[in-house]
Amino acid sequence: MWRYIFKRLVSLIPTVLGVSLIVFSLMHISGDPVRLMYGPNVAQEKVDERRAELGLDDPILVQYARWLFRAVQGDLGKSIRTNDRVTTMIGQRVEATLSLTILALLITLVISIPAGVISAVKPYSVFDNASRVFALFWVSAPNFWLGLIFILIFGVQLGWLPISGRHGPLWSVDGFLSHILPALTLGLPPAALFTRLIRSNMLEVIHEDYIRTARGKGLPETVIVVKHAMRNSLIPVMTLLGLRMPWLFGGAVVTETVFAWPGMGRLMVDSIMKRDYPVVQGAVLFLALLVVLANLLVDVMYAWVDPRIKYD
Amino acid sequence: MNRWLWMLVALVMLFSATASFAADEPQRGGTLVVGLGEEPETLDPHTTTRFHSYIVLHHIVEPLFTLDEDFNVIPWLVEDYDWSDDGLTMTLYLKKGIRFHNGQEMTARDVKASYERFFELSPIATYMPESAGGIYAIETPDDYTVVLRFRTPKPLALYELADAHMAIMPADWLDSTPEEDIGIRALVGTGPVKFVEWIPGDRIATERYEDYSHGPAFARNKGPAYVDRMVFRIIPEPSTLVAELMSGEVDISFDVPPNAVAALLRNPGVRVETVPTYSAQYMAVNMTRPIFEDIRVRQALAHAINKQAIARAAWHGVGHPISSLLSPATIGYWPGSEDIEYKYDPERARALLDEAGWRVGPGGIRQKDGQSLELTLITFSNIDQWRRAGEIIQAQLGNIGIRVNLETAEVGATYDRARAGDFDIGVFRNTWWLGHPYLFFLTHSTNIGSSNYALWSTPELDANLETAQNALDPQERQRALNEAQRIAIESAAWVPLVSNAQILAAKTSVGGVDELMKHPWWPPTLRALELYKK
Repeated sequence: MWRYIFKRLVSLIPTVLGVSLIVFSLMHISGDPVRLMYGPNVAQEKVDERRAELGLDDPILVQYARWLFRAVQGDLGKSIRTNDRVTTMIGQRVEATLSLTILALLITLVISIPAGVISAVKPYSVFDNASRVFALFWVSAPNFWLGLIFILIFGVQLGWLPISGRHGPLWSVDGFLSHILPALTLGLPPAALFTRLIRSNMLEVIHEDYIRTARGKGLPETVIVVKHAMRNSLIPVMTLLGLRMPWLFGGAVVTETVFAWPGMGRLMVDSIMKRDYPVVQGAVLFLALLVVLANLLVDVMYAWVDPRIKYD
Repeated sequence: MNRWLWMLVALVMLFSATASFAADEPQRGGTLVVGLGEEPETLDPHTTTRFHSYIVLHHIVEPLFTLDEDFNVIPWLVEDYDWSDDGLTMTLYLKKGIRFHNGQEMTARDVKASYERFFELSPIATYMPESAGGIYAIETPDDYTVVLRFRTPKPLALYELADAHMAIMPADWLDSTPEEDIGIRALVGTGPVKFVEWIPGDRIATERYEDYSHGPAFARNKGPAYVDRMVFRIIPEPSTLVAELMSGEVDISFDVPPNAVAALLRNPGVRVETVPTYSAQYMAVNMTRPIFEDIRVRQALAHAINKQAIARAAWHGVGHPISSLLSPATIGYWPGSEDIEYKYDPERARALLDEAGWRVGPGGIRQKDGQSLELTLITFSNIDQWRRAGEIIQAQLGNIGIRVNLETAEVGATYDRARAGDFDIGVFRNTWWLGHPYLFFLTHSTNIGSSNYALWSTPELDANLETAQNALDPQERQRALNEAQRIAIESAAWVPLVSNAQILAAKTSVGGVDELMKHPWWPPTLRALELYKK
């Protein structure tokens, strides 16, 4: 098992390198960050001076090599705009994104597992049909629209929840309240998808021989569903969960903008808009690491859910 | 019994009248939440070039001079000043007893350190440093006297000294604070609010500076501020900002988009005010194109554009057509421009093109010597008001038989194309409160290839722009600036379009807005001093 984890960690290196190289090249073919920052009122000589200071005049490969050399030493450089350290900037933002995505993930699972299981146990019932309609709605609703509708209903009309901003950590009352709307926006669409997936998996499993055997043995229905059927139908769900991780962080980019959320997504959007290369580079590197690690975690969890799976 | 009842009613009415009167008196306490549409990149006055940085930092740090309601430069942190007749020596006498937020008294040493840091770091320090013929020595004969020595006379120096980019910060603090912390994790000035913290992406928190008592002459409240805390919340999504204003945490915002004004006006709990700004949206004609050598073609373009339609449709009515490259709110604006501008007159435009030999051909597009009149218009894709202005101009020029290919790109890419001359006509923007350097920047021949997007000037225009910046006599400067505006307008190489309005939207529970309205550009200091929570 440990060998497997180590091998996976080593295979991370080319993935992350590839991602960073692509992002680096893409950022450098579009627009000059210094001109963008200084605006039209600053003379060209000043722009050129600053570009030289930042090393933006060097060939792109030289710039990339320099960045990489520092990055492996843990130095992601400084922001072109704020002059602040990129590692500091990421550190300040990561908690807000993690607390939001973790809560969104919880919402997804807490809704989709029971809803999927009930739909499968009672297929074509009123509940199943209703959940199908809801699923269709949530899956087709775009993230930013959903966010604005939530703001309008729960923030503006009813006034129950804060409209935007992060008013504290997740465990504080104000903080928790401010997490609800963005986490719902982020968590509900995948919940709909997962519900349908769990339902179809469960339906397959429930007709397997071993379930019929369990029934024949006279086990209570709840034990059959929860202990025997559900566990086996979770494997494909976990695969999808791993695949959806980037989507969860990606969705956070839009949700964080709508809800003025001080997270990584906003940091990335702002930096991309302003061509702040070092920050985009650092943030993408960090998110790539996070996604790859999350996938690794899912793979490890396979073995835990299904003892037949072994890694050597 | 009846009489007693009436007396009771009268008493209740009297009581409520006093209560409502008291409610209009400024009240101390509370937190004022200001909604910001864009996050500042730093609050360091000596390095920033961004509007949102400038607006926030100007609550915390202050320059030595300021501008009054009529745009006159008035002393603020200085008692008085002398300027030698030759314009080469300026002596500043600092006010005594003005203290920074860290408790230190402001002295000549701090002024020297701040100015030197500004000259060294700021990309917009182009007028005052020695390299521009400006200050070569800053002397401090005693704690309260600063002597500025100029290489050549700099008649606009006082305006520069009234700019918060030249704000004063404590010399010792500047020395001892790591450069990457200044303006990000720490900021010390003499302003009415103190920097508390900046949670990136979320908010910048400030609190009242209790020892503040040097509010400028035009402020009713000289200090300290009424509110305990002023918090700037960063809300990039305009719809969210509007929702926050209507029923959320945000009390006031200066970043409401023009298209939200109508919705806010319908909300009785929100007050909306607008004032003209010194920003200008204008069209530049690429004068290196042979097609534009004939002034009649340029004049036809100018006559074909309906600025009012742009103000209405692109700016949602929250903008004013302008007749000069300077907006009426910019210092140095020439009112005479209104009489000489090329007014909207499509018939005249068509006649001019006919005269120039451009006849209507197949498909309604004009032609001359086998060439059809087809122009490439560039503007910003990511700013609604510019993209829409581009579309409107495209349609209006289409009306007089010119086919316009609209090519939009984001701001940086558009300016790159403009500087390279890779366009026929372009819609650009600029914002500067002081007309003299601004017009120089936009139209002087030395700026061809950088900020002169018409890529054109004349010796006469150049000479007037230079006089407007350098003459010691203020009237001579204004005359030259008027003349430069006239030449620019008549050339039709630039077509002024619209100046947007600054929008203030505040909950009705915010007091002091009327006081703020007395000053034409709502200075941040006034916002900090006069606004309060009812």
